[in-house]
Amino acid sequence: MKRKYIPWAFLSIPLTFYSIWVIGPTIYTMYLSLTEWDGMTAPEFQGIDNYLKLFNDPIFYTSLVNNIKWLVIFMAIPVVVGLFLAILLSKEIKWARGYKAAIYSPMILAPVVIGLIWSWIYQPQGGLLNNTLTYIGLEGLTRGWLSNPNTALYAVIGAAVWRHTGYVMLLFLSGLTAISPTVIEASRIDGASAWQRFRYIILPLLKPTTVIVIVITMIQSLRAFDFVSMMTRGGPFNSTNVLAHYMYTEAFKNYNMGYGASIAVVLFAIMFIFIVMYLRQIRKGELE
Amino acid sequence: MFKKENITTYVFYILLITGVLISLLPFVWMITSSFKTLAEISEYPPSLLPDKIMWNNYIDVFDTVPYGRNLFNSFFVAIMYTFFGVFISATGGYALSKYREAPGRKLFFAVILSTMMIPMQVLAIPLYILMAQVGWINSYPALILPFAAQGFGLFMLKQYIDGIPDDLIEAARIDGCGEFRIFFQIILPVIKPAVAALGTIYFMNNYNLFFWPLIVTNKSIMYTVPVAIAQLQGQQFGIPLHHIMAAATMSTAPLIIIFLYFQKYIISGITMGALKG
Repeated sequence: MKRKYIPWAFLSIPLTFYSIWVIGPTIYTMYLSLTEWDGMTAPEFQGIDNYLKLFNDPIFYTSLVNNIKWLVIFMAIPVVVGLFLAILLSKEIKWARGYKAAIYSPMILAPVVIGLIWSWIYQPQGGLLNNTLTYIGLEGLTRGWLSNPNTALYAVIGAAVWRHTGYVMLLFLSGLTAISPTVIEASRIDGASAWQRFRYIILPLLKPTTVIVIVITMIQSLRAFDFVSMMTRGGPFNSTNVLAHYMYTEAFKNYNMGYGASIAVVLFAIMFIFIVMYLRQIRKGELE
Repeated sequence: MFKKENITTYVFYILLITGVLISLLPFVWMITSSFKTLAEISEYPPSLLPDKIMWNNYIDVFDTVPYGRNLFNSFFVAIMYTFFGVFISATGGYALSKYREAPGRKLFFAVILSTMMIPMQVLAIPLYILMAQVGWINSYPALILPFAAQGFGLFMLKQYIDGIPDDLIEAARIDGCGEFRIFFQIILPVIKPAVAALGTIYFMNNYNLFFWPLIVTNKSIMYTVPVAIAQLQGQQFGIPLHHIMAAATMSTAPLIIIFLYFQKYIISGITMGALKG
């Protein structure tokens, strides 16, 4: 075989798979978003009607806003707590490996199982959370966490935060081990306080890791389907709906395939921004 | 009198142990609940160990759903997917890393990277239609194939193979070693640690997948474990909590074992995929 064709012999398998399972469907979804389709008869082309409908759809807005709330909370709690825990655990202490393993152990559970556990923790009667509140005398705070539209979204996000924090900690820990201890030691000798050391030495050196953590956190916050589906199915009154779940309901429960596709395209557009950010960070790394 | 050092140490451990407790409690609660009676689960404060260990919870699950089959499905699908996924990532990653003169290489790499994180929701409708047309609803190929090509793995192995010196390959070529033999006998053994890390991550991710199996299966014997658990939860008036918890614990057991034995690979896989480069 000619040398020139050899790389393509290796690439032919991945190329075939990507075309059939990823690239083709992505393009087809974009086309479907311009049609009306029940999944049985032929798709009917109707231009941008689905998008016009989407921008007047209150459930779409609720889902989008919920995605944004999810994102903001995900950026705030797991990233900060994860960084904090990583710094605590980067010191040489007894049983450090055990602590680390315990903190990132939620990661191995399926989101479905996590949703299951937390929906029973949130149970109004006999749930762990309400029972604990009653036990410590805060009976006034007990409620149906998942059935109350004011708390449901935060309760669902809480379960997702529980899973994500350990992941963030793990990423930061590996970033921290890459920082040379001599730099830290030098700053100590120069009399830098713990805060100064964190603010002016550790944080700048962690920047590449931080960018990756932020992008991964953004992407994870868009992948909310499993938690929402398991804990509330978007209810009560769509108060916990997110784009991924709304798309599922429209396309696979109501058989509005065209409309569902247009929601998927919006999801893709948002994701694409994050992917570009991620790639730019990786490219930077490759050039260095 | 307290020294300043001591107080810092106390605060340090209090924070750390709080973190550990919050991480472990729901986990432990799931496992202990799976051995309790329904009445005992709701008791407060919850007992760490059940009064009487209810092994029956575990047996009863199998009476309500074909849970043995569901466990097999999840295992089989995750293993096949891991095999395909790793193989495709290795061949693709090798070609992109070591044949830098190949035409179209940069374009292909860019496409793979930009499709790396496409959410399944974007692919689901066309793939579902495709599966329906070829009659693959409720089949193993439908559960496995759509995930066999994932940019993440290809990217990760490419980065790893980049670290192998070209001289090693040139030397083999001069010795008359064929291109495919180079890949199987020189490259694959060298990238073993990365393959193990990627395989572990792939297995765990696929074992836990929910969205796609939910769409492409509608017979209980073809459900994977997450779908089966979701269905159990959906009929919560028929199926008591302690049985669902037994099902959830059983589904997690293999992951706990993997976690304990392959922890090193999980960590390196996650950090490699995210940070290498």
